[in-house]
Amino acid sequence: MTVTRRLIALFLMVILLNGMTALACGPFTLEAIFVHTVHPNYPLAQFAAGRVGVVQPTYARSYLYASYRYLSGSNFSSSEQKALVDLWKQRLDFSSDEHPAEWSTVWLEARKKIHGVQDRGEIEVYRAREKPNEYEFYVNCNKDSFETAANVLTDRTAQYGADSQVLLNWVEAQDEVFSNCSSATSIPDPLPADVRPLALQDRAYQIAAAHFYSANFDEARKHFEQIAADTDSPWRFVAFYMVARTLIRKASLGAPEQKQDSLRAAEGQLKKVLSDQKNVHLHSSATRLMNLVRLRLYPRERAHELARVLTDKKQNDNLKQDLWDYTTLLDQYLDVQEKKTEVIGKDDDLTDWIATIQSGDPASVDRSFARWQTTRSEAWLIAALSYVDAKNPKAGELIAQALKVQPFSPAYASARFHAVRLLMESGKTDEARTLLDQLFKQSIVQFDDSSFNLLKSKRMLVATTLEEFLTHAPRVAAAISWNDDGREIPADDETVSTEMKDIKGQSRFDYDAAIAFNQRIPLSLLKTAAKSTMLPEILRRDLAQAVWLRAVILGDTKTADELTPVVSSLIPELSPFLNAYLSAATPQAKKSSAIYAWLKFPGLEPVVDLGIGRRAPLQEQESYRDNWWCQLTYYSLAQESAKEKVEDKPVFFSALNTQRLLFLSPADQATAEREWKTLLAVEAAPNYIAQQVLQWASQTPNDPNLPEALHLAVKTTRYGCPNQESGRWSKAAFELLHRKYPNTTWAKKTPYWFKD
Amino acid sequence: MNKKLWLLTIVALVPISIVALRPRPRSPLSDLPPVIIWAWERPEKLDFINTDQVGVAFLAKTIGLEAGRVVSKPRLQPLELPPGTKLIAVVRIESDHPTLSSTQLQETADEIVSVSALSNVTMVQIDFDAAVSERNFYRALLHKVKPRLPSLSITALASWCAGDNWLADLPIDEAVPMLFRMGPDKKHFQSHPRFKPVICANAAGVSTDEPIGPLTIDRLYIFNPKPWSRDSLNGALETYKR
Repeated sequence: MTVTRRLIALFLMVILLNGMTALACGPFTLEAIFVHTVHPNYPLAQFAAGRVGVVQPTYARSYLYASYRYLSGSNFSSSEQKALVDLWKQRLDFSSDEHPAEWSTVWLEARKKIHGVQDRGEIEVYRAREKPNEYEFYVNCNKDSFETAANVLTDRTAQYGADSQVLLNWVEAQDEVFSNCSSATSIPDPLPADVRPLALQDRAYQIAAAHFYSANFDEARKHFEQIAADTDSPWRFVAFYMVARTLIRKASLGAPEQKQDSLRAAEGQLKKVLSDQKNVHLHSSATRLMNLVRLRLYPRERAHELARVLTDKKQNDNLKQDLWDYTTLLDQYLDVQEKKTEVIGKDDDLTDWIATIQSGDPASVDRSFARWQTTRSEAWLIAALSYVDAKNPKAGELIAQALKVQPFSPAYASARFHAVRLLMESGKTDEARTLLDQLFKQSIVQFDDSSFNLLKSKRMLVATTLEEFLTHAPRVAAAISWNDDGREIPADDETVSTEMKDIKGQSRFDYDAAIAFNQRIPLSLLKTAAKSTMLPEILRRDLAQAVWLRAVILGDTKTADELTPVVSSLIPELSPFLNAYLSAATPQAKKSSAIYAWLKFPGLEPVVDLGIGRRAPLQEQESYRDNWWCQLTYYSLAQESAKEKVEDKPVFFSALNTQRLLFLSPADQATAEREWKTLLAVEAAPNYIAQQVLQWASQTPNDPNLPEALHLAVKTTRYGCPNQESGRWSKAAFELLHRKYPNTTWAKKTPYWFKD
Repeated sequence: MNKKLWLLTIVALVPISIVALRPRPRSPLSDLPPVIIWAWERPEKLDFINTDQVGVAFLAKTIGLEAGRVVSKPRLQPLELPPGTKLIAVVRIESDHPTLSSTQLQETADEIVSVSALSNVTMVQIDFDAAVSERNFYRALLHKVKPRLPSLSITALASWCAGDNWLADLPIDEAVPMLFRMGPDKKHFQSHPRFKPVICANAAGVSTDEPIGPLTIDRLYIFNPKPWSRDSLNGALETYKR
């Protein structure tokens, strides 16, 4: 090809690509979450209130902490529950009720009342670290600094009068102090010695504060120490406390080599603040700072301290901060392989439990079992159950212990789930079924939607008849989520289209059910399932089209014929094509007729959908190429991905369905396996469709539908999911269309074939 | 071909050649390394990177569009870089029932532009998963900020680059299709992605925990759900043969 021809080809390609852009259909990544794995079922307030459900070891540690408390027989007060939910909300939504941009409002409003003060805008509270090659900001001016300034202003107004020059000078100096919040260094001038003492003392504090906010920590410390030593200053107590704050700031933002010394000095200063009863009004703030200092100086000890506080049954008004600090510390240890064991201490059952249940190590069963025997805490029973398999010699005893857990216990859902799981693994499927059916008969409030779906999955797998299977295969998703970040957060109703809102509460197939229908059940039984009215209509519709098209591809004309009325009644828009199919005289004519229907209905596919599935109407091309059984082309990739998902996590999903469905005979299984292999051999549906159309053309070249079929066959290689072989089939269909039917509209509508 | 026709052809080709061969301003994109790692809002110590090979796109600011307000939060986590690192400042926009008013538009634009003043920033990248109802706002925002920035990149949902054509006329230098966290649509894109708008063709974003097939692009952006280390970076570079 010459350069010129290449350029022309490139030009044409650009035109082609831009000109054939499909219509957008808006947000498209909503996902049905049947079983939560990173946090419990929403609303989280129910979990905080003790509806623990089946505990997943993959939950974030703050949820495992709450689980531990309940499983250990403890609980939370309503204010503690609120603190838990606040923490989760802040972490999941990256949101907080705090609005730093509004902190300065209290000061700005207060100063407006002073005569002669000029208006000023919102004060930026963040300041950059101002180091080369570092890009961190920090909250420099806190909410309390503005509140303190507003309170002092009220007080000084009363003392000096609203129109006094002293007051105006104070406000202007305070503005200068706050001008350091976001950048630069601006220090108010000292006042002459002959002004009244309070004004001098105020100014001294403003100068110290300005140094503090402008990150001159040594200078700030010196000034605060001088004020603290001034027994007449109203600022002496707070200045004494500010010395500690200055040291902590220096530790955070100063030279790394000075960090430890600064923290130790801050610890010493805070001890003095806390031991002085004259500073009692500062003790609460000093305690918070002391906690921060200890967290940095003695992380392991602090983790154990926090674990003790967090498991104390006394009311904890600082629960949110304590849990925040505790989980932050655990992250530092448990997420680093070589540090994992460092944080596990003899007297810290909580940390031990969290580390154990997250370990994924089968050896943890022995340890958990021993702890269960020692403590009799159901938390340890659940930890042992979480990793035990049926081959473990302790499995029998653990099942027995699990079955003793009472329905009112928060451990009930986990214990029952694992008992069922272990019974199934050990082949006691009748017992598992009986247990599950008993659970379904009860009012199982301990099972949230996500946990309930786990039970349904198990029940589906121990079904002894197709009817039982059909009863338990459909499930309602625990959440409909964008899940673009893996956080499984339910989508906000207002961001979801009306069509998608309807999906909430509708039954769908989770992974296990979809795999069962698509790969495990033979066509003969699928036909019965498709005729059954047990499934909800939306799933019947999906199943009916899948089985009909599967029968067509597998060449089972009898089954396809038999199912045609069912499909026709469930999908009336397909009826004209199905009638044509029925009236076709020969098997080949039927096949051609069915392929034509498939071409006209890109949403048909010989498999049922997983979760929400394809949302465009069957007869419409989907903008993102989910047409003509797209997923077949990516089958291997999807398998890998699903496998990784399960192998990566010690998590209880709906099963991957590796075990045999009980209602299937060995012959059924062999047939299903053979049929699935035949379907997989198609490799990419566009290639298969094009081949079928070419065969149709060779047998009945005068069929009036053929030009359109060839046109659509070419289209499948562009708007379906092709593979590396598709180009030649696209070209073959294209060339036949233009050679045999050059003057048809369909030939004119087909200017190109598609390589890939 | 006779002489006259040759002459006419040459005369016709000269202006085309002049236009085609004229020196063009060097795009800041051409100075960027072939691999850019995203440094999200968590402590990152990246002093081990080879700055010729790897650049850094760091989350510099998060802007919340909350009802009628614009709530801006700068990066609060440490980020350490070796001198000479090619830097992209990323601004993440999150919306919560925004009014999308003209005031909100102007304030958001100002907040975005301000990050370009951070030292050594070569480009600004906006990360905004705009819903359909927010697209007009986003388009107007891009038009507002583009003239005030050295160059402008945006992250794009993979769907925006495959089937959805709304990116085609945006005033941007680059759109980076995000080939991770795509939910059930993963299958569409991860095998051999084909992106329609040319603006999507030169870069792509992947994640270390969702490796995908080979990509023929100029610039690969890599996200890591965990803090970066020398090993995780080397692993990612090996995976993508960079």
